[in-house]
Amino acid sequence: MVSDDQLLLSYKEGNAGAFEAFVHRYHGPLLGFLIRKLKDVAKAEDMTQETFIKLMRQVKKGEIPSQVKPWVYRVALNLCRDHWRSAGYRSEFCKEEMPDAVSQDTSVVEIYEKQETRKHIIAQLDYLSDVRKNIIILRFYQDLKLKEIAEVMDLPVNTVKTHLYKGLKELKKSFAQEKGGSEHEQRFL
Amino acid sequence: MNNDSYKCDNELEELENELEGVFKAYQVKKPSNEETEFLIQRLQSVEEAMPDLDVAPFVNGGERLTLISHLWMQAKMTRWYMWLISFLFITMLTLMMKEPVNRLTDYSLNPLAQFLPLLVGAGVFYTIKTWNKEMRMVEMITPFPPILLLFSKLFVLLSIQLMFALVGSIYLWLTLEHLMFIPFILSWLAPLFFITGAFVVFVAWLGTFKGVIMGGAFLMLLMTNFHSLISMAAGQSETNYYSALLIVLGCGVMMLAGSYLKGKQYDNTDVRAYNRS
Repeated sequence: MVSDDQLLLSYKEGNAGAFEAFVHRYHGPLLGFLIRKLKDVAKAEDMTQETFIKLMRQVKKGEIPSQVKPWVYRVALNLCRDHWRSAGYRSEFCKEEMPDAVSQDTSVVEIYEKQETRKHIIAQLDYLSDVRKNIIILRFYQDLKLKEIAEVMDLPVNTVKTHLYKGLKELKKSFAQEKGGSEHEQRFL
Repeated sequence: MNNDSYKCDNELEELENELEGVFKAYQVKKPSNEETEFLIQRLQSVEEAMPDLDVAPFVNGGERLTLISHLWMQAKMTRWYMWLISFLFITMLTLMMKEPVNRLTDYSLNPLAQFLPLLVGAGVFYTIKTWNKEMRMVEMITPFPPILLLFSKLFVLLSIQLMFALVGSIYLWLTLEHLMFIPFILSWLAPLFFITGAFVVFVAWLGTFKGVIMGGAFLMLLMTNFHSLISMAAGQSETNYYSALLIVLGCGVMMLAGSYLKGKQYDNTDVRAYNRS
């Protein structure tokens, strides 16, 4: 399979098809990453497009990123940060902040274990610090290597490892508590 | 942040493995092919609006990746077990040949000549298997027509077999008495090229599925009748033997070259049509 670097190089040399191939390769992963970060599919789609546009501009300027994959995720992450800093987000945030985590009346209906686990993961990931949450998402859902995550986050690899370890420990503990809690509830139902 | 917060990489790995299953429960929307195509269209319109960008359409892109660079890339991507299987199979065939060969036409009865095409068949199935839907989706819009990509994968496998068989032949030539090097090499080289060429021709003209079925049938026919055909064509004449094998070899080379030229004719639109076949 043609590497990312080769596709971008080919695009730089005038081959638009190479960039199409690149979009096919990264559309799914990038959209997934942004949905998990923003919890808003429409916004995530916009930002995915914005990320590709930034990459197009970068390549046409003649600067192909040395590490393409980390570069793409770093740009996406920066776009999320800009979005959170924006005034528009703050007003939306007040209206829509974590409906799943606080909603009480839907939890009775949602009896499927998978959905409960999913909601729990989302809530617990949100409970983590932003750095740890990003590292875990990049590691488990984007399948990035620790070195690549370090590039995205602009951190030393050992720091990434420490954050990952601590974040996973926290999650494990909370999952264990949740499991214990639901078993306890079931016993008394 | 100190680095002593975790004891070792193994502990981190264990923790990752432990939680991997839990994380799978959090899946999000995946874009459909139509959505990706739609995104590409929007990106194209953005690109057209950018004054500083001047990207030529795909069909005019003269600077395609060369065949050599693709072959090199495919060679690097060939899985280690294909190398190992080829090595073990050819070593076995080489070691099976212990008896000296008396008649020139009997050279085509040697294990390498008889069973090496089987390895080509296995290679074709391996290549087709790795050419899955996702690969085709990406490859159909790469600068290189996917049919040539398929051929380059086959060509890499052929080269691996060629290399090992050549080493085996040199070993036999040095250890077996009265073994004539050129007739022996020709005895396996001709069917190897012929059957690879036939597979490639069938795939190029009939599409992957029909091509592989026809190629497989052809392989069986060749394997069971190759020796009789060569013996019949050669009779007792040494010249006829060489001529027959050289014609078979030439046909194989021509089929490979013809398919390569046919593959080069595909542009992006044809490729999409071909992929649907």
